[in-house]
Amino acid sequence: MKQTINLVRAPTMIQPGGYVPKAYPDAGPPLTPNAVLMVDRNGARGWVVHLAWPCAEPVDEIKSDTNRFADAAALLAPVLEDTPMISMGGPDVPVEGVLWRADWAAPVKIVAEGFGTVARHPAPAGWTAHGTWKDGVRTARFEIPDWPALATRKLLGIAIWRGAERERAGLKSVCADWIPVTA
Amino acid sequence: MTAKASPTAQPPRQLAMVLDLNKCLGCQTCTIACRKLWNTDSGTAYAYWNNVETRPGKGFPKDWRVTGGRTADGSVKRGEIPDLKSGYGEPWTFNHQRVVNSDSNKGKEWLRPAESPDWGPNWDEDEGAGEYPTTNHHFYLPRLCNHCTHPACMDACPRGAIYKRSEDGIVLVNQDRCHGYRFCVEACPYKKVFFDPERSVSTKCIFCMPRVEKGVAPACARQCPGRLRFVGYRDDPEGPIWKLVHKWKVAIPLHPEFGLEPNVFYVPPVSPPKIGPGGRALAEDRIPLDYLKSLFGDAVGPALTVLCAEREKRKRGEASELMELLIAYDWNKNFKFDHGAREVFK
Repeated sequence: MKQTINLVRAPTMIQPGGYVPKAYPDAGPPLTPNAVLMVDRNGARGWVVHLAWPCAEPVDEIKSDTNRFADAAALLAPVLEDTPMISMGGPDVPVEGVLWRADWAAPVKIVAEGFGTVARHPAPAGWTAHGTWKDGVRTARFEIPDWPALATRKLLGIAIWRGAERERAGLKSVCADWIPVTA
Repeated sequence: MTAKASPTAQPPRQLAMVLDLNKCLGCQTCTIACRKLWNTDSGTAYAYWNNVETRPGKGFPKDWRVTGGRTADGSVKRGEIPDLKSGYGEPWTFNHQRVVNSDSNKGKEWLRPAESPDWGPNWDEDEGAGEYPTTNHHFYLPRLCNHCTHPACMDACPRGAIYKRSEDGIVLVNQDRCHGYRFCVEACPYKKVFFDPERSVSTKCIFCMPRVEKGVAPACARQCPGRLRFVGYRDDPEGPIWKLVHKWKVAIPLHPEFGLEPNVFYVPPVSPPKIGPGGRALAEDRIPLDYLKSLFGDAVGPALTVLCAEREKRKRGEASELMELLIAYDWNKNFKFDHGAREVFK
């Protein structure tokens, strides 16, 4: 399956804390307007996912600076039915996924039950993610040999952070709702 | 873009610090005491939980007064994260080996940084303002986290990784929860939260929490040769904080307009006079009152009036509880943690 996904700016008004909603009021188009998503099966329970998006200025590392943010992308899947995507799940309706960051040697598994609850864990054995950049396009390739949540629900969410624009946390471009996976 | 800050519940008790700017020598002993005790990670080699900056001046990080996440009426605005090089100043690498340990170079090479820096902490030390010798002036402003009653950093963290201890109001970062998003660095108008890029977490002053829990003053206060720091609970009428902040009202917060209710207070500097023709002292202050108001708000005028009046009393040989306390004849009175206990120096 391969398709172009239109992205939206993740809403800040519903994000936790008093600062982000006021300092970054919802306005304007997403910094990453769309992404090309390609999903293939990798065995009975596994997946290979390519995500590509326009990125004029890649940031592969934050070096030792205080004001640099690395490019990143995440895939999400609902664990249960009727799980909200835009808020990364909610209480008792968790989401899980994989987070690639350009300055990390390996991806991490993430689990969340709503904004501000993301817990990072070492990725299970065999989960890999690699990023490349060429001609203004950033591509992240995820290999996930066993992801029961995706195999069961067949729904995928995506999030993209542009480091050069200081996107991080809830400042990101995301799909507006779960993407049905037909592969 | 702007909106009022979110209110936060006040802790039952609040530790606080008062710094008498009339006694600060700018020696940086507090800075080093803090840094050597807590801040030795290579990722924060640029950071100073405690720094002493010259005022008037740009401060540390550069121009922090305008890059924070609060407007002059206390509303939230998008702050800035200082760059390492242009904001904080890169840590310098010195040629100690060549200068000190090399016989062939001894006396031939000056100690100098390998980099060619154009900014750094204390870059504008002692520059101040005015014209020598008639109006020139400067004073030292030691700064640390204000452990605010309504901390902007805590308000900014979407992960709830920053919290205020209920027992003493100390504001701490839970680095196990911190994901290095740096909204706290951005939002703090005092720019007293720092990012460690090597560990990808925020760090800040912990008010020497482990020392305080043992009834020992924070290192910056204990090591101060000028005895200018006072530490205690705000609600203790027998302690120095209550007396200086609430009773005498000579200790006032830095930038109260940010609306965060800092718990670090300053006794403002009494200005020396301008010098007129013939070297005579004039009845005009060298440090413009408006400049002090830009730092401490309108309360600085009445505070200076009380300070000057009590100084005059002391000059006349009369007793002054305020001057006794500020002079710190008995250093034991600078620190008081519990109602029944006091740190005792021999």
